[in-house]
Amino acid sequence: MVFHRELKFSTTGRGTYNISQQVEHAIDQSGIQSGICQLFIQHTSASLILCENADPTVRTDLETFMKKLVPDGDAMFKHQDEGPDDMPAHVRTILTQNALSLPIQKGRVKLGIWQGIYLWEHRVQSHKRKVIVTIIGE
Amino acid sequence: MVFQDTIKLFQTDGGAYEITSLISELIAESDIKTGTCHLFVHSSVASLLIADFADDSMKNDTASFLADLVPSTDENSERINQGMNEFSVDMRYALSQNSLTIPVSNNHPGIGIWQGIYLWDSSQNQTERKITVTITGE
Repeated sequence: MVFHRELKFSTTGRGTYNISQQVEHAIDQSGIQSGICQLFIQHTSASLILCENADPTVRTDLETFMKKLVPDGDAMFKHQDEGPDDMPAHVRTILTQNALSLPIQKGRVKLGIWQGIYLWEHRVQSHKRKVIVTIIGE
Repeated sequence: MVFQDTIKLFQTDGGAYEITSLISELIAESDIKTGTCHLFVHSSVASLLIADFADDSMKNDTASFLADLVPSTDENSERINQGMNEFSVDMRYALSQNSLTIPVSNNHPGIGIWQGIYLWDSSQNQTERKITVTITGE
Protein backbone atom coordinates (compact mmCIF):
# COMPACT_ATOMS: atom_id res chain seq x y z
CA MET A 1 0.00 0.00 0.00
CA VAL A 2 1.19 3.52 -0.81
CA PHE A 3 0.04 6.66 1.01
CA HIS A 4 1.07 10.02 -0.43
CA ARG A 5 0.44 13.54 0.81
CA GLU A 6 1.88 17.02 0.94
CA LEU A 7 2.65 18.80 4.24
CA LYS A 8 2.90 22.60 4.26
CA PHE A 9 4.90 24.68 6.69
CA SER A 10 5.34 28.42 7.17
CA THR A 11 8.75 29.31 8.55
CA THR A 12 9.59 32.58 10.25
CA GLY A 13 13.14 32.69 8.93
CA ARG A 14 16.40 30.86 9.52
CA GLY A 15 16.26 28.11 12.11
CA THR A 16 15.03 24.60 12.85
CA TYR A 17 11.35 23.61 13.15
CA ASN A 18 10.22 20.37 14.76
CA ILE A 19 7.83 18.63 12.32
CA SER A 20 7.67 15.24 14.12
CA GLN A 21 4.00 15.68 15.11
CA GLN A 22 2.84 16.42 11.55
CA VAL A 23 4.76 13.34 10.32
CA GLU A 24 3.18 11.18 13.07
CA HIS A 25 -0.23 12.51 12.05
CA ALA A 26 0.34 11.54 8.38
CA ILE A 27 1.36 8.02 9.47
CA ASP A 28 -1.84 7.77 11.56
CA GLN A 29 -3.91 8.83 8.55
CA SER A 30 -2.21 6.26 6.32
CA GLY A 31 -3.27 3.37 8.56
CA ILE A 32 0.02 1.67 7.63
CA GLN A 33 1.37 -0.43 10.52
CA SER A 34 4.69 -1.55 9.16
CA GLY A 35 6.83 0.03 6.44
CA ILE A 36 8.91 3.04 5.44
CA CYS A 37 8.04 6.70 5.72
CA GLN A 38 9.84 8.77 3.12
CA LEU A 39 10.03 12.57 3.56
CA PHE A 40 11.20 14.85 0.77
CA ILE A 41 11.49 18.64 0.86
CA GLN A 42 10.81 20.35 -2.47
CA HIS A 43 13.27 23.23 -2.02
CA THR A 44 16.93 24.06 -2.54
CA SER A 45 17.32 26.45 0.40
CA ALA A 46 15.76 24.41 3.23
CA SER A 47 16.50 20.86 4.34
CA LEU A 48 15.43 17.99 6.58
CA ILE A 49 17.47 16.65 9.49
CA LEU A 50 17.15 14.34 12.44
CA CYS A 51 18.45 15.99 15.58
CA GLU A 52 18.42 15.68 19.34
CA ASN A 53 15.10 17.01 20.62
CA ALA A 54 15.84 17.52 24.32
CA ASP A 55 18.25 20.41 24.66
CA PRO A 56 17.47 23.29 22.26
CA THR A 57 21.05 24.59 22.53
CA VAL A 58 22.08 21.65 20.29
CA ARG A 59 20.19 23.31 17.44
CA THR A 60 21.51 26.75 18.35
CA ASP A 61 25.02 25.28 18.15
CA LEU A 62 24.27 23.69 14.76
CA GLU A 63 23.24 27.11 13.50
CA THR A 64 26.42 28.68 14.88
CA PHE A 65 28.55 25.95 13.27
CA MET A 66 26.83 26.43 9.87
CA LYS A 67 27.20 30.22 10.02
CA LYS A 68 30.93 29.74 10.47
CA LEU A 69 31.24 27.01 7.83
CA VAL A 70 29.23 28.86 5.16
CA PRO A 71 29.34 32.59 6.03
CA ASP A 72 26.63 34.88 4.64
CA GLY A 73 28.01 37.35 2.13
CA ASP A 74 31.26 35.40 1.60
CA ALA A 75 33.15 37.12 -1.24
CA MET A 76 33.79 33.65 -2.74
CA PHE A 77 30.11 33.50 -3.81
CA LYS A 78 29.12 35.15 -7.09
CA HIS A 79 25.44 34.24 -6.89
CA GLN A 80 23.88 36.88 -4.64
CA ASP A 81 20.69 37.72 -6.56
CA GLU A 82 18.52 37.44 -3.46
CA GLY A 83 20.96 38.78 -0.88
CA PRO A 84 23.95 37.63 1.18
CA ASP A 85 22.11 34.51 2.49
CA ASP A 86 21.15 33.33 -1.04
CA MET A 87 24.11 31.09 -2.07
CA PRO A 88 24.93 30.07 1.55
CA ALA A 89 21.35 28.72 1.83
CA HIS A 90 21.94 26.53 -1.26
CA VAL A 91 25.28 25.26 0.04
CA ARG A 92 23.79 24.52 3.49
CA THR A 93 21.04 22.50 1.77
CA ILE A 94 23.58 20.50 -0.23
CA LEU A 95 25.57 19.77 2.95
CA THR A 96 22.47 18.47 4.77
CA GLN A 97 19.57 16.31 3.49
CA ASN A 98 16.67 16.78 1.06
CA ALA A 99 15.11 13.53 2.17
CA LEU A 100 14.77 11.20 5.14
CA SER A 101 13.61 7.55 5.25
CA LEU A 102 12.20 6.44 8.57
CA PRO A 103 10.98 3.02 9.72
CA ILE A 104 7.35 2.53 10.78
CA GLN A 105 6.57 -0.13 13.35
CA LYS A 106 3.14 -0.77 14.90
CA GLY A 107 1.75 2.33 13.18
CA ARG A 108 4.33 4.68 14.72
CA VAL A 109 7.53 6.18 13.43
CA LYS A 110 10.32 4.22 15.09
CA LEU A 111 12.70 7.00 16.09
CA GLY A 112 15.25 6.88 18.87
CA ILE A 113 14.05 8.42 22.10
CA TRP A 114 16.09 11.60 21.57
CA GLN A 115 15.55 11.94 17.83
CA GLY A 116 13.29 14.65 16.44
CA ILE A 117 12.48 15.40 12.79
CA TYR A 118 13.32 18.99 11.88
CA LEU A 119 12.85 21.23 8.89
CA TRP A 120 15.87 23.51 8.67
CA GLU A 121 15.10 26.86 7.07
CA HIS A 122 18.32 28.35 5.67
CA ARG A 123 16.92 31.67 4.39
CA VAL A 124 16.75 34.66 6.71
CA GLN A 125 13.27 35.65 5.49
CA SER A 126 10.13 33.63 6.24
CA HIS A 127 9.09 31.10 3.57
CA LYS A 128 6.35 28.59 2.76
CA ARG A 129 7.84 25.09 2.52
CA LYS A 130 6.42 21.85 1.14
CA VAL A 131 7.36 18.37 2.31
CA ILE A 132 6.09 15.30 0.42
CA VAL A 133 5.35 12.28 2.60
CA THR A 134 5.27 8.86 0.92
CA ILE A 135 4.50 5.89 3.13
CA ILE A 136 4.97 2.40 1.70
CA GLY A 137 3.98 -0.65 3.70
CA GLU A 138 1.02 -2.65 4.94
CA MET B 1 5.29 -2.99 -7.93
CA VAL B 2 9.03 -2.57 -8.52
CA PHE B 3 10.73 -1.25 -11.66
CA GLN B 4 14.51 -1.22 -12.00
CA ASP B 5 16.88 0.07 -14.65
CA THR B 6 20.40 1.43 -15.03
CA ILE B 7 21.54 4.78 -16.34
CA LYS B 8 25.01 5.02 -17.87
CA LEU B 9 26.82 8.31 -18.26
CA PHE B 10 29.83 8.14 -20.54
CA GLN B 11 33.13 9.84 -19.87
CA THR B 12 32.18 12.29 -17.19
CA ASP B 13 35.25 14.31 -16.26
CA GLY B 14 34.50 16.34 -13.20
CA GLY B 15 31.59 18.66 -12.54
CA ALA B 16 27.83 18.40 -12.47
CA TYR B 17 25.71 16.43 -14.95
CA GLU B 18 21.97 16.95 -14.86
CA ILE B 19 20.03 13.66 -14.98
CA THR B 20 16.53 14.97 -14.17
CA SER B 21 15.11 14.24 -17.64
CA LEU B 22 16.62 10.73 -17.68
CA ILE B 23 14.90 10.03 -14.35
CA SER B 24 11.59 11.47 -15.64
CA GLU B 25 11.78 9.13 -18.64
CA LEU B 26 12.35 6.05 -16.45
CA ILE B 27 9.48 7.01 -14.14
CA ALA B 28 7.20 7.39 -17.20
CA GLU B 29 8.35 4.01 -18.49
CA SER B 30 7.73 2.34 -15.11
CA ASP B 31 3.98 3.22 -15.21
CA ILE B 32 4.17 3.69 -11.43
CA LYS B 33 1.84 6.54 -10.44
CA THR B 34 2.67 6.93 -6.76
CA GLY B 35 5.69 5.81 -4.79
CA THR B 36 9.40 6.49 -4.49
CA CYS B 37 12.35 6.52 -6.86
CA HIS B 38 15.70 5.46 -5.40
CA LEU B 39 18.96 6.35 -7.16
CA PHE B 40 22.29 4.74 -6.34
CA VAL B 41 25.59 5.63 -7.99
CA HIS B 42 28.15 2.85 -8.42
CA SER B 43 31.27 4.90 -7.79
CA SER B 44 33.52 5.89 -4.93
CA VAL B 45 34.19 9.37 -6.32
CA ALA B 46 30.95 10.53 -7.95
CA SER B 47 27.92 11.42 -5.85
CA LEU B 48 24.31 12.48 -6.31
CA LEU B 49 22.80 15.76 -5.32
CA ILE B 50 19.68 17.82 -5.70
CA ALA B 51 20.34 21.47 -6.38
CA ASP B 52 19.23 24.62 -8.12
CA PHE B 53 21.84 25.15 -10.83
CA ALA B 54 19.53 27.21 -13.05
CA ASP B 55 22.24 29.82 -13.10
CA ASP B 56 25.82 28.68 -13.81
CA SER B 57 27.18 30.87 -10.99
CA MET B 58 25.41 28.58 -8.49
CA LYS B 59 27.21 25.55 -9.87
CA ASN B 60 30.55 27.39 -9.79
CA ASP B 61 29.96 28.71 -6.26
CA THR B 62 29.21 25.17 -5.04
CA ALA B 63 32.41 23.91 -6.68
CA SER B 64 34.41 26.78 -5.10
CA PHE B 65 32.95 26.04 -1.69
CA LEU B 66 33.82 22.32 -1.88
CA ALA B 67 37.31 23.08 -3.18
CA ASP B 68 37.82 25.46 -0.28
CA LEU B 69 36.36 23.06 2.31
CA VAL B 70 38.54 20.13 1.19
CA PRO B 71 41.50 21.60 -0.67
CA SER B 72 43.79 19.56 -2.88
CA THR B 73 47.28 19.47 -1.39
CA ASP B 74 50.76 18.57 -2.59
CA GLU B 75 50.69 15.50 -0.33
CA ASN B 76 48.15 14.10 -2.76
CA SER B 77 50.61 13.75 -5.60
CA GLU B 78 52.24 10.65 -4.07
CA ARG B 79 48.85 8.90 -3.82
CA ILE B 80 48.07 9.77 -7.43
CA ASN B 81 51.42 8.34 -8.54
CA GLN B 82 50.43 5.14 -6.76
CA GLY B 83 47.27 5.06 -8.89
CA MET B 84 45.00 6.11 -6.04
CA ASN B 85 42.48 8.93 -5.92
CA GLU B 86 43.54 12.25 -4.64
CA PHE B 87 42.48 12.23 -0.98
CA SER B 88 40.38 15.39 -1.41
CA VAL B 89 38.23 13.47 -3.92
CA ASP B 90 37.60 10.69 -1.37
CA MET B 91 36.78 13.25 1.32
CA ARG B 92 34.34 15.23 -0.86
CA TYR B 93 32.67 11.93 -1.71
CA ALA B 94 32.31 11.05 1.99
CA LEU B 95 30.69 14.44 2.64
CA SER B 96 28.10 13.94 -0.10
CA GLN B 97 25.50 11.28 -0.93
CA ASN B 98 25.76 8.09 -2.95
CA SER B 99 22.01 7.56 -2.98
CA LEU B 100 18.92 9.72 -3.21
CA THR B 101 15.24 8.93 -2.83
CA ILE B 102 12.66 11.20 -4.45
CA PRO B 103 8.88 10.87 -4.39
CA VAL B 104 6.91 9.76 -7.47
CA SER B 105 3.68 11.74 -7.85
CA ASN B 106 1.28 11.25 -10.80
CA ASN B 107 3.94 9.27 -12.70
CA HIS B 108 6.41 12.21 -12.46
CA PRO B 109 9.33 13.04 -10.17
CA GLY B 110 7.74 14.80 -7.17
CA ILE B 111 10.46 17.42 -6.93
CA GLY B 112 10.22 21.18 -6.50
CA ILE B 113 10.21 23.59 -9.41
CA TRP B 114 13.81 24.72 -8.79
CA GLN B 115 15.20 21.29 -7.99
CA GLY B 116 17.38 19.43 -10.46
CA ILE B 117 18.96 16.00 -9.97
CA TYR B 118 22.70 15.92 -10.64
CA LEU B 119 25.58 13.52 -10.74
CA TRP B 120 28.49 15.36 -9.12
CA ASP B 121 31.79 13.93 -10.27
CA SER B 122 34.79 14.89 -8.14
CA SER B 123 37.26 13.05 -10.32
CA GLN B 124 38.87 14.38 -13.48
CA ASN B 125 39.35 10.86 -14.88
CA GLN B 126 37.08 10.32 -17.81
CA THR B 127 35.10 7.31 -16.68
CA GLU B 128 31.69 5.78 -17.32
CA ARG B 129 29.33 6.28 -14.36
CA LYS B 130 26.50 3.87 -13.61
CA ILE B 131 23.36 4.70 -11.62
CA THR B 132 20.84 2.05 -10.60
CA VAL B 133 17.29 3.41 -10.47
CA THR B 134 14.68 1.50 -8.42
CA ILE B 135 11.10 2.73 -8.53
CA THR B 136 8.70 1.25 -5.96
CA GLY B 137 4.98 1.97 -5.77
CA GLU B 138 1.67 1.36 -7.48
